[in-house]
Amino acid sequence: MSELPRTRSWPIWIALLITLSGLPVYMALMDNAWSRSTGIPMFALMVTGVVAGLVMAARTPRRLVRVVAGVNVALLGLMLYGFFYMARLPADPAFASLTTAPDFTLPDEVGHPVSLSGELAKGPVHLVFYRGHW
Amino acid sequence: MAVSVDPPSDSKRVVDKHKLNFSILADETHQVIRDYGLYHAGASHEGKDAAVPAHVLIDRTGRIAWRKRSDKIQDRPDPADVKAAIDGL
Repeated sequence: MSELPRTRSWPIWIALLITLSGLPVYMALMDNAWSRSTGIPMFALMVTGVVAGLVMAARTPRRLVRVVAGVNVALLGLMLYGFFYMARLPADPAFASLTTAPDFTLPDEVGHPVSLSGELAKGPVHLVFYRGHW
Repeated sequence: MAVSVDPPSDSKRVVDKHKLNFSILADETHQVIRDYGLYHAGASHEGKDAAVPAHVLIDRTGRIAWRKRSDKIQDRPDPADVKAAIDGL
């Protein structure tokens, strides 16, 4: 069986494509809580692309292959930084230590005031805090 | 019901767009999110403050029966976990 000719560079673009496919896959799986929080499907694809690219870069002196392999690594690094570092939210021990829900009265989307104690009189309340800035 | 730091007009658009069957309350002064320990200063790109996304289940006595907050922006609790907690109330 003959070896792949060392002068071919197109496989490195496949490796880059695999890395780039991570983000669309993440977006497609957004409704899955596990995929969304861990990013594992996305990182699995990106790591595959990066490792493939590095293997190719190690096997050829072609500069183009090495540059693209480097870009591949940079993309993974950027994604790791964004996903784990930039995405961090401040931790406030106050939330974990609350025992009773602080009461409040706030206007709803048409301006009618709604009070938590008023709603609790009707039954348990599921309160969802959205991030805001839709 | 939901709480957001956005003005009622913005929340109304969201309610209408997604045909929500619950209200979105406006916490424009950020007092409520501070009371719940969910204040995130300078959260948005423009440096505006926002809330840390969280779910709180409150029983009729006002006691917090279940709570879950996000550690990363993209985290949201699994709907199955939330439903299980509601069923357990």
